[in-house]
Amino acid sequence: MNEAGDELYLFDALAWRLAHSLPGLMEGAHRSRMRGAGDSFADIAPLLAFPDPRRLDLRRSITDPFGGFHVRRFERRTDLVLHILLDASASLAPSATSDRRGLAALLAGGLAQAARRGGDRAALHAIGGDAELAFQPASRRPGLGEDVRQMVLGVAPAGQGVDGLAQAGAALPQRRILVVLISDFALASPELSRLLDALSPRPVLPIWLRDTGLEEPPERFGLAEARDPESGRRRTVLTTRKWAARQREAGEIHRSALRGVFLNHGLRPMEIRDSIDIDQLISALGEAAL
Amino acid sequence: MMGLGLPLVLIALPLALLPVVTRWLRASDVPRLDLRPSDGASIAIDRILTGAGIIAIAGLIFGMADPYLKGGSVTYRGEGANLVLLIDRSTSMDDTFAGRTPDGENESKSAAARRILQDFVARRPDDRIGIANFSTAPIQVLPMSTNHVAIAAAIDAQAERGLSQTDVGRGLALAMEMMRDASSLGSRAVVLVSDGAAVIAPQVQDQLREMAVEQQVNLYWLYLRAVGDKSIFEKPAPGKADTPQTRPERHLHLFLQSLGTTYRAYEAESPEAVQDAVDAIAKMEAKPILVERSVPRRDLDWIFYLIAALAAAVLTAARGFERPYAAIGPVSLMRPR
Repeated sequence: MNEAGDELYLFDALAWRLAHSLPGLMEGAHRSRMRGAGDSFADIAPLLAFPDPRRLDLRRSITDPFGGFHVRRFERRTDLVLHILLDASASLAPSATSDRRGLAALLAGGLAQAARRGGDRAALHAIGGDAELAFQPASRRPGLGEDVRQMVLGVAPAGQGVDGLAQAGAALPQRRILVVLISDFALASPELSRLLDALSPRPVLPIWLRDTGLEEPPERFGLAEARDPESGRRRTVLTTRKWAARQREAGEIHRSALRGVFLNHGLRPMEIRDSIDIDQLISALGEAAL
Repeated sequence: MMGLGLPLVLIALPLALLPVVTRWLRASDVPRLDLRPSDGASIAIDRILTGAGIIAIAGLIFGMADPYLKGGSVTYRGEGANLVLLIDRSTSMDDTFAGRTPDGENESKSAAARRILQDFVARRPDDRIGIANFSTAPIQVLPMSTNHVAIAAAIDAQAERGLSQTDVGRGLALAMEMMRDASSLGSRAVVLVSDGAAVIAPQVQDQLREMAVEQQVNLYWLYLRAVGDKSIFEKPAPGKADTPQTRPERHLHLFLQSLGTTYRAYEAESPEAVQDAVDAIAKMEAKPILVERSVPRRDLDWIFYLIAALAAAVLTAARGFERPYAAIGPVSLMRPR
């Protein structure tokens, strides 16, 4: 528990910048469409239209051939709500070289923490199958990060399919939000496409929890029994070098297909392989297409 | 035909479907199997394991149900004869061919006869053989039978010490009576093994004549002649008495000749001669015969247990090769900076 708290502070440096300015009155860290006091210059408006004589632009007023008074306007800063959409379907539970539940919890907690630090509010929706397994309404109270993390750790992944996730995404407000979609994306391309369709036009930051152990099974000869946690289907496989190579190859093809789907929606997922590299996460988030 | 000793055990047979619903190997969770490629070998092994489980359980249950092949009798055409061995059990049979008490080197006439008859019987598996003996009175030892174990035992049982008299007439009557059980096909023969004879009463003679005609029996007399005994073929010297009382053997020979059936007499003065005579009889009595061989009930449970064991061995081998789908051992959540 303590260790968890120790890790969360690493996410404090996480920041996100949206491409578009947002409508919004609440004070925050993101560019707003509202004009007023601020630190980045936006435009000049007539004093009569924007009666704030404190920001009278002397040069513009003097040089105006019609003798009008002009006021400098600045971009206001506004906040947004970070909606953490966690795909807690049963496929999140199996893990080989990574603890994906722990990763999801740490990421959700860290993002909530970072949102709070950045003046944003954070909300959590953990969806498993068609059911909402955990919900945290938008908030920016202290200790939110740790609470969110514990909530996610308490979730038992269950259910299958993306319908619940797509419904929850479609129900989110369309403005002043950033959706962080945390999932293992163990989906077929059409399913992923459906999910992303449901989320658009909201800015989405997909975080892809990958497990290299499951992607690249070892080559040792033997018999392995695989069970699909979502469908419960079981299959005995003869594990050989050839089989492992085929699995690896097929996985590669499947992942590039998924990346293509993301690209079609103007997104690039942040792929986390087995464990979080916080520096990489920070820099990737800085240049994320939001 | 298969039968079951404990058919009620088969109620448990639906248990054999357990491998369809449960799995043999320990499963590790792998998401979205439907998106992963599967290969033919894996599918085959999957089915083999399920099949082996079903076979193992079904084999055990069938084995416990105690299956067996029903016994019965099989009729087939063999080569042999219906034989009745009529053995003299008089005291003199316990002497050697030299007329002495048997010692280590010389066996008694009865022992030699037994040994040679055993050998004879063993070489003729298709024969239907009955055994009778006579001394004071005839005794049916073994009715006509094809069971060679019983026949051998019956011949062995003639080792007891003999009695004093030699009532050959009633012995022959009993032997012919036993012929009624003979198989209809094949020749019938009575082999009389004796070392002497006695007077046959006229009534018995008449009875024997009737029966010989009725039964169409071939007669072989194996006369174990001790040294000094007169030959049955030898006519008495002129002037010597030639009555049944003085020469019972010769007169028995004459009587048997007069029966009108195939009859041969062999005189043997040594075990080797006995052997020759028996060989001659064997040669003559080798004609097609219908033999009924009884087939014993045979237990089949071992086959099912064997099958179950093999299937279990397959499953055990699979366990030996079992390994987790992917290496277990999650790394830490955060990569060290």
